Amino acid sequence: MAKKESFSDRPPAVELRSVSKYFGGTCAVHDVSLRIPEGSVFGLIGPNGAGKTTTFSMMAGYLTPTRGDVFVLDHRPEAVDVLKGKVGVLPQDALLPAGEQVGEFLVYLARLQGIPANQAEKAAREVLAEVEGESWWTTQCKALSHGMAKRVGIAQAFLGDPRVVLLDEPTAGLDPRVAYQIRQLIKGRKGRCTLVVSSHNLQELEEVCDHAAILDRGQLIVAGTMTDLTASAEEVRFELARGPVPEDEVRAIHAVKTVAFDKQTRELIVTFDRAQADAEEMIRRVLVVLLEKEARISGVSKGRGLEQRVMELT
Amino acid sequence: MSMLSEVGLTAARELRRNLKSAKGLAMGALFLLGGTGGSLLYAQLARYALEKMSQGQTVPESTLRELKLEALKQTYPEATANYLVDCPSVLLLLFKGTLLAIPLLTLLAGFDSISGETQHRTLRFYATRAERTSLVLGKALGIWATVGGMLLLLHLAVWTIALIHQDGTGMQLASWGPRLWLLSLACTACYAGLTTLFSALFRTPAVALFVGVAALAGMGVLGLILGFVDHADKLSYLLPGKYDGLLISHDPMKVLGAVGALGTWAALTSGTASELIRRRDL
Repeated sequence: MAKKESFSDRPPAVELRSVSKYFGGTCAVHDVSLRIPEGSVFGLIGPNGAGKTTTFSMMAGYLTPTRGDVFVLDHRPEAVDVLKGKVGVLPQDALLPAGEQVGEFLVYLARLQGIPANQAEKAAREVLAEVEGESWWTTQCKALSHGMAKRVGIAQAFLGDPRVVLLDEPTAGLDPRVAYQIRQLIKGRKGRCTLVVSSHNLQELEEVCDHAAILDRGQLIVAGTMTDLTASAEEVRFELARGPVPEDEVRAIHAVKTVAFDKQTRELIVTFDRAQADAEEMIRRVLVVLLEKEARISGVSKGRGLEQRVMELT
Repeated sequence: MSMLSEVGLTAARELRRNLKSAKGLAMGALFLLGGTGGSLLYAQLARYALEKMSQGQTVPESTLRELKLEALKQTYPEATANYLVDCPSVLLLLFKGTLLAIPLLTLLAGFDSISGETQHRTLRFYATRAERTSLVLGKALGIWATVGGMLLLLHLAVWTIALIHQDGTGMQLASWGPRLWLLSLACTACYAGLTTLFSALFRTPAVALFVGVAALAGMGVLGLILGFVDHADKLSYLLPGKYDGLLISHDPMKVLGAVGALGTWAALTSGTASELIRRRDL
């Protein structure tokens, strides 16, 4: 049987090689190297001031690296003539042109990126429909609410079905319902393009991304698949209510490497050899033992959770 | 898509944006009202003066021409006065008036074209889709087209006034009207380039406007000073205002030279603006 191709084997859609960015004497990003596999949904994670937006802006070509190289689809981001129509970007703080109608703005962008005049309106209407904004066609951009403007921003990023879509804080400042809709939109694009999503919202990123990089104070801390980052392929957690905690019995299960019980959170943390069992199999085995020993189970999870991982690393 | 298409699309958007905005509409209305009002007033005064001078008698055309020539000689060299004597006087007044208004009008039309979009980072939406150079050149072209359009409307109104007041024959109007409008476009191109440069230099529209007004005023004052300083007259050729007079010279080479100089100003300033935006972090 042919070996299944993993994301990491694919050529990078975006690559950063030893990239640094200084603003005057302030270092915003220091020596970051990163490969974003084509077809992945990649999260850029980090606290405020981590350098996410600066890194993102260098990928989009808005900022020029002080040192190092950025490549998008094997070209430098400033090679607009080659990349136009292949890269869609939602910039974080960019305001839509206040005096323009949503429709004419989108049609202008469509024309600018090379969509022929007779197809530009159709393409613009399609992406607007995708964000459920069909009725905003003649609305002036200045009349849009924050959530509506964000959705128009996402619509323009999806114009023309680009191969790479960069979304900087796509759900920042949105109410939960709109944020949910936007997550669904992003999920809907999975597999159609490479998505790079920068966000503070770790649960959101864990939900939509299959790869991520954690940045802190301008440096890359770690990058990899979400499974590796959260250790979900080699760790399972069982939240137990008051009652027996059969640590030794669990330790005796085949393929288990370590067992630890956190008394504060009442979590039984089990690590295992991923070569011998996958997480689901390990959950099954441990559950059998826990139920047999009459442990009272409140919850089960794979890995540490992205939030916990980020807290550990930053 | 070629760079030319990007420039064209951006220029068309800029023109649309200007003509639809409250600022553009107000400016256009004021410019048209001021221009047509001034021209109407001039036409009425000229008619009144002629009636008073002729005291009910018919003044021969040749006498009128002589009088007009003498008046022109007060302002222009003899050869230029001879050349301009066939130009309907209201058109000449319109031309001189618009040359004075064009720098400020163009600045007001375009000071926020780039600064407004860098301030709010709106330019980021376009920067991944078109060369930054095309965007800047498109904006310069859009400003030029906006002011050129306003000038055309004003010229059409004044041509109508000239026809009604019989200031010149139909042939003279057809010959001089479009010619003067085209020459004013050369002047507009120069100031559209300058405006684009001011707008590209600053991220805050108010600063771009303030610096633009100060620079225009500074160039005007400098031109005046150089006019009074012996042996410094040649330096004034570095200022665009110097070419206003040459645009209506009797010598076609001088007119071409002036158009060329204004075009060079436009190319240099909009080229510098493009380069600034191309190199700058957005």
